[in-house]
Amino acid sequence: MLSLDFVILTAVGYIGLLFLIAYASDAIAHRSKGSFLHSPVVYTLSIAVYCTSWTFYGAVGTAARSGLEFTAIYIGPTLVFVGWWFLLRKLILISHAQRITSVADFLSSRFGKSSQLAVLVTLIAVISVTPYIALQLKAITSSIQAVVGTGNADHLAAFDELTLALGVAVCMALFTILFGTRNVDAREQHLGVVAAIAFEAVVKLFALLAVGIFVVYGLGGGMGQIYENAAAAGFDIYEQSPLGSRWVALLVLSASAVICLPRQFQITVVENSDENFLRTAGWAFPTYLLLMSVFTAPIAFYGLTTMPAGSNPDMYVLTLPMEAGYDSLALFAFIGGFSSATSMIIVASIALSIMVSNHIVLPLALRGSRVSEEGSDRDIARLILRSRRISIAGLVALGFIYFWLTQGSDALAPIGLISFAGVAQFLPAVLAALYWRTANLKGAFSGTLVGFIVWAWTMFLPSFQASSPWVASVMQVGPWGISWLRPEALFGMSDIDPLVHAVFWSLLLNCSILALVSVFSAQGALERLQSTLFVDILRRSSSFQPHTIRGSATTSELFFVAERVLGWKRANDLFHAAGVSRAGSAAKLDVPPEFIAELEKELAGSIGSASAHILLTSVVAGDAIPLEEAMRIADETQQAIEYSHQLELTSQELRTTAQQLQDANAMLQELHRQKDDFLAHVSHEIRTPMTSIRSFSEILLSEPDLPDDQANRFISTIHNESVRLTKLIEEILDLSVLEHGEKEWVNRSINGEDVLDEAIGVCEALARKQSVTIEMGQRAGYAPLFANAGRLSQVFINIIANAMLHNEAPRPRVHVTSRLEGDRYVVEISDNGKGIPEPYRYTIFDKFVRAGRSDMEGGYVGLGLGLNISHTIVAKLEGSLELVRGHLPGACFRVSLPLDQTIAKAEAKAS
Amino acid sequence: MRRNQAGSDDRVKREDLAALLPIFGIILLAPIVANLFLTRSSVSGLPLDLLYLFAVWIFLILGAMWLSCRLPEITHPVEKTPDLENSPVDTEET
Repeated sequence: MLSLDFVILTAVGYIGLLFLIAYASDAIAHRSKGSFLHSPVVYTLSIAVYCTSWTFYGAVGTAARSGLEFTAIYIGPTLVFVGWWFLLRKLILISHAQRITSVADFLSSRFGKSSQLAVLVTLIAVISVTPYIALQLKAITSSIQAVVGTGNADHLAAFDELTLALGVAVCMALFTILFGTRNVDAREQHLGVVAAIAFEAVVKLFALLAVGIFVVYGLGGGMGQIYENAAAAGFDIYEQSPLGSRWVALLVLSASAVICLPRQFQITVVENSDENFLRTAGWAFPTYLLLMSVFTAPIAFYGLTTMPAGSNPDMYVLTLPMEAGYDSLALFAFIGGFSSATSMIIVASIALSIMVSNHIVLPLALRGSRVSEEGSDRDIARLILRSRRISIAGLVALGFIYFWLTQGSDALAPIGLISFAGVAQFLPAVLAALYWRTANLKGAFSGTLVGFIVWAWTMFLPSFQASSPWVASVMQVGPWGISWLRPEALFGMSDIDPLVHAVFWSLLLNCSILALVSVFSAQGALERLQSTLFVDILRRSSSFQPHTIRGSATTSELFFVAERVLGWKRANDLFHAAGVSRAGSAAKLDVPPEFIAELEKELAGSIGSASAHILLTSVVAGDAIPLEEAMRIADETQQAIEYSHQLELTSQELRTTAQQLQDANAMLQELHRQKDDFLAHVSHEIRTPMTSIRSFSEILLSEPDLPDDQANRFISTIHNESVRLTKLIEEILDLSVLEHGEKEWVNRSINGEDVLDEAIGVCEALARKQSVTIEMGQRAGYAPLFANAGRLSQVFINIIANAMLHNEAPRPRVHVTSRLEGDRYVVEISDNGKGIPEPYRYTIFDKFVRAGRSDMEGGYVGLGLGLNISHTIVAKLEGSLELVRGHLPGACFRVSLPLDQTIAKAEAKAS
Repeated sequence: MRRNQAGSDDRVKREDLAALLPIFGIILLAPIVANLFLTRSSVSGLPLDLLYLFAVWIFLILGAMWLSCRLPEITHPVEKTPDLENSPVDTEET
């Protein structure tokens, strides 16, 4: 058993060591900038402030009571850190660019530098973190009592739990005030404190590992043995109930806590001096957490198996070595737990004091009096420092009061979770700030407020159940007897774990209200600017200058403000670096707006963005209107850009239209040429018969006494030529009708075979006259078509007639076959003439193309239009007319037409 | 040119992996998957459920470690003013 004097003196000595480390680090940092303090290792270790005494002692207790649940508290942060590339990287880049000083400043800056939101977030943070500070005090006093035991006759034994807690609280407040408020730094970095925190992280890790190794391998005989013994002693070594909603809620809470807890934000984001440190922290911090918890479950089971029933599992880390008689190890473990508690109190109170001084005290002071009034030259800096010191003392005192009020409650874990759930109310707003441009102040404010109220009602209030009868009665029957408002059964949702219940309702209402209000309300001008700066941080070019205050401030006025916040030296450096002369007060020099923006950012690094904005706008007269004006100008520029884009589109359209016109013109010229050709052809065709008609009729007129037979021959020639002329004109008219669309072209269901037979019949007279044999080959028999019978007949007649007329064989024959090929009706008409000469094979269907000789042959001469007409008709019937190689030596024309599908199908069905 | 193209493709793929890692973590730790290992059986004396959680944890750490030196350098989109940084000026009350 250790003596109380010794334990307390050790603790005091340890705190002395922390002072020394912090002092030395500050001194080193002051001398050299590239020291080991700016390293990813120190950064990662300082993030381990996440592991508080709750983790150090409470995790074993949780493992003993609820099994695997203790891992959720570490796995949530692990997920956040291994995914650093997406969330943390963006968060840190934004915070560095905007000189963010706290989570309240982050949200306020994103949502239009709103003071109200900053105040709300600060208040929530203070109320949520107070129980957490109380938890640390409780852990320290419990651990002292555990290592010391009772019945000591030491000098300090007269101290009860409260006095001990008070002593610790006072020490912590002193340390924090001394090292946490040394300066109003540009980015609120406290290298001395960070070094001390990193040191504490090493101490608590080694202490826990030492106890773990001792218990598992020294006492328990190995991991497997411990589990075997626990199972033999009747303990269930397996997870009793499946993981469910509580597991998920714990993961969500711990993941959000590692981002939103003010102390985590302070260490991870604000104290970060190089974004690339995340590269190491991304895996090293999860590794630290893994090491912290690797022995937790074995220690718990060993304790459950060997310790007497009723001993507090939260203190196994201390009591197990003591039971085994290793007091020095127990003292080391005590120092580890003490480290966890003190580091948390220090960082949390620094982070909260920055928030309180920047967002509550300073705005009130700025509102109360115009800063440009008379005062000492460093009044703002002094005000900030003083308010920070007072708030640190106040916060630790609040923690102490909470500890005092809730002494009755036993387990450590529930208190930590209350705090986690409280700060988790920032998560929706933080995520919206990072990724959702539409999110606005009204949404963020109302969502966070409602989430906070629900949290306070469902989780914070019930923590007073043991100490307040009124709270107990409200928990039982609801306020004023309204049972659906009972804190742990809101809207009748009972039979559910109180933690899941609170997390579900608070985050659900928080997110929904944030989203809905944001969608249904408008953003202010400054909010729009800030949302772009935040959401698009990874896209923005470095030259993008966000928001500049324009106004009528003089350099001397600005210097006056800068000096009072930053101090004379830094203000002077800043003005000097920017090349802005801070000439005498009489000089009414205009200051470049970029410099004002830079100054605002610098001020924000010390007093928060909202306060910096208020401060500068109070000096630089009339910013609000120029900002609106700037937005209007930006809108106009946007319109001009859109207009020019439209112009570009229109000119593109014009170019396209011009091209189309050019194409159309080329086509028209081609048609014009074809028309000329056609006219030339037609004139030629008409001139030949007209010439002979004219000359023969002139002979008849001038020579009345011609012999009769000669006169008759002449008249017959005139008649033949007239017939030919009439035929030519008829064909031209026919062609014109076909090409320009026929009004009375009606298709009907017909039998193609009938039409073919009819055409053959028509041609028989000519066949007899020409002594041509028409041979019938294989026939289809029946071919249902949907076509114009007259026109189709014209095609067949034309082809058969051509085959007869141009056949010079001694025994001329025309061979006709027809068949069905799939869904087509195919007719082939071939002859044994000399066929189409090679040069004409490809142009035979063009107008005025004649393959044969143009001399008279049996009173008939081709005009070169027949095949063209036939081709046009077949094309109109969706068929094809081709010249193919037939089995006879002459030409072979193939007509192929689609069958009438409806009839063909109906017949196929019927058959 | 081709090498540059391939380099930028690789870079995009590594950034995708950086997003997939926590997503896989969430899936593996979701009750629906994790409960598959609550079989009340043990491997060399240790409960399988506990071993599974630590295995996922180690997998996440190794993934992050592998990615840490392969993800591109973080470049600051806004120029810093180095003369004003890291030079905390003592403004303690005198």
